[in-house]
Amino acid sequence: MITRRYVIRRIIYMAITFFVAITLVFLLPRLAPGNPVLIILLTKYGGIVKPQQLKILESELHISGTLWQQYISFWISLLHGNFGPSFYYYPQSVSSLIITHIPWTFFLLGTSTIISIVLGVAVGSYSGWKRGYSDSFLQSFSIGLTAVPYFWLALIFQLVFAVLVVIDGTHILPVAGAYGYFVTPGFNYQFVISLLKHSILPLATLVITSFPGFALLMRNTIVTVLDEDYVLQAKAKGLSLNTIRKSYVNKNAILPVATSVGLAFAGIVGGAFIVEEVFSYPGIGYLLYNAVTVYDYPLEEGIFLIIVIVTILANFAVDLLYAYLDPRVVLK
Amino acid sequence: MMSFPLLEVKDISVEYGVDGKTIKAVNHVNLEINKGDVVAIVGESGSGKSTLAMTFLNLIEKPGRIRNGKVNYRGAKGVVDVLRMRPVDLMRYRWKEVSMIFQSAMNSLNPVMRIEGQLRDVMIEHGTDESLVDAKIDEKLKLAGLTTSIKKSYPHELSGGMKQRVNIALALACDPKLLIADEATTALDVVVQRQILTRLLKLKQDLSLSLVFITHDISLVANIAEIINVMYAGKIVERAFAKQLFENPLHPYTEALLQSIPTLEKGTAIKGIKGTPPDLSKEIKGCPFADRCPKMFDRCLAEPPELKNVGDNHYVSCHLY
Repeated sequence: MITRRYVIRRIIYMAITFFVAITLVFLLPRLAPGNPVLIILLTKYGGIVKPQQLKILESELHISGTLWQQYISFWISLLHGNFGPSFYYYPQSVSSLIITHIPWTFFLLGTSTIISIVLGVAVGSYSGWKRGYSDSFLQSFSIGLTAVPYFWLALIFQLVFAVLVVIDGTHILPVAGAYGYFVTPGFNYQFVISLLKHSILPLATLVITSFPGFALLMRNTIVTVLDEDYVLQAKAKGLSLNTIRKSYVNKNAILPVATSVGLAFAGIVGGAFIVEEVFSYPGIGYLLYNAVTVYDYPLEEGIFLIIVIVTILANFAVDLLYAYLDPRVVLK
Repeated sequence: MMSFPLLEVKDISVEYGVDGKTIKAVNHVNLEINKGDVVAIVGESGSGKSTLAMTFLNLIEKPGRIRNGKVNYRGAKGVVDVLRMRPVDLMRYRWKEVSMIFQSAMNSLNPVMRIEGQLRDVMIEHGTDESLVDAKIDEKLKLAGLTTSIKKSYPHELSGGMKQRVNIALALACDPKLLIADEATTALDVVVQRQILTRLLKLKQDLSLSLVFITHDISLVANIAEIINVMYAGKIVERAFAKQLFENPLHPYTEALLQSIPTLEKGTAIKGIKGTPPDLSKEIKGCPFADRCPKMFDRCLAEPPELKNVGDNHYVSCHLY
């Protein structure tokens, strides 16, 4: 049950969270030591930098003046929904950069998240229902996999497929980029094949390291629910296994899983920071990584803004979903 | 008796395998329940009374297993052993012939399903015509003393007493011949306890049910049960008509049990039973109650007593008789 009061209060909380998070988004890049203007001048023009040049560029990029002045102009541009041009990719605007990169992240993380959830829930349910040896095996296997850091696995894949397994000078699987150099993006066979081939290793990295978490969660909730008295009563009622599974076990077991699934979907926009970087996959994570290394304040701010909004909204959505799935949850 | 009982438990033993130990929860028990009987099984925690009741529905699950014995049920097609039924037949038998009000009535309702749905699924799967289900749901709720408006509720929206009544309504959903009430009123206050028991007895009259009450509280069944079975350490130690048992308890355990009931009379002290029940994972050579028995003698430690008829259908398992 969800009351109107709850929704209103929740919106106020979200606004506060948003304000705090956005202030941090403004502050964090500026806290990092280093001067973006210097980097731009040095990397783009090289040579000796004159103090006047520095001043002009600083005011051009709205990073002159006190922190307060910058903060206010930051909010003004935020409310206009315009972050202006990126420092590094000047004159490309932040929004156009995000728009060109976000589909790659959606593709990569959307696919890997869906595969992880489906695989995790399937393996977890099987394991929980079966118990016995296969369960013990799957459990140790899953725990082992969750302990594998995804960046490490990404590097291992790089090592194996870029260095160790090279047959006649060609790689079995592409190790960098989102599609081949010689294909033209569009709806053509070559492009689609190239796209899929390029996604295999980053996808494998993400799926292998994230599905065991879902599997373990699902397995544990299934085991807990199977021990509940209402499941025993359902058996005593002479219900078919199908009904018991559907209405009594799964309906209850899905509750904790729903939360982590909801939050996993929120994570999609943020991209996979290191996996995208390791595989040079042109998604949001890759863009953010580059933005951070070159002090591209507006680009960092733009990306973080989206992550903040999606995370806040996803949390809200998960709570609403939970109240919908579990009648015992009262949001008031 | 010439006619075959409705349910006949023959020499049943149930074990639980826990931590490499085998706990003999029910040990060679025989029991008969006739049509229209109100039978009570009384015993303390761990005496095996709930486990015994579970065998009526063939509901023993791992780590428990039925070691030997039979549960013969007299159905429309003659006598069948519930423990050896095909899964399909067992599904049809459960709830349609024998239903149960579980010990943990508070947790035995599915929290994410409306009351209505929990009555509906069992009715449909046991072959109630779709068009009659709604009327039947209302009828059963009324039988259990509930207003029909609660059918739209979820279990957490109901009080303990209401949940208990929902469980009664559920148990009646498929018009069973035998209803087992396993500590059906334990979690409730005495006023509600009384209401529920009266309700069950009235239903027994109206619907010609057989009832089995399982409880640790012998005073609770004093006025309602016709036959009382006293269980101790996985065995039935005494069986008699209720009146007889209360007036003339034979087994020292029953005697002690009756003395532990608080009375309203002045000057009668309540006596507890010294010691604890035996460890059922160990082999017991003599009588399981010997350690705690005030009348124990040599023979009690040497050989186990048999349940025998000492007249007037009064059975006792004690070397004194």
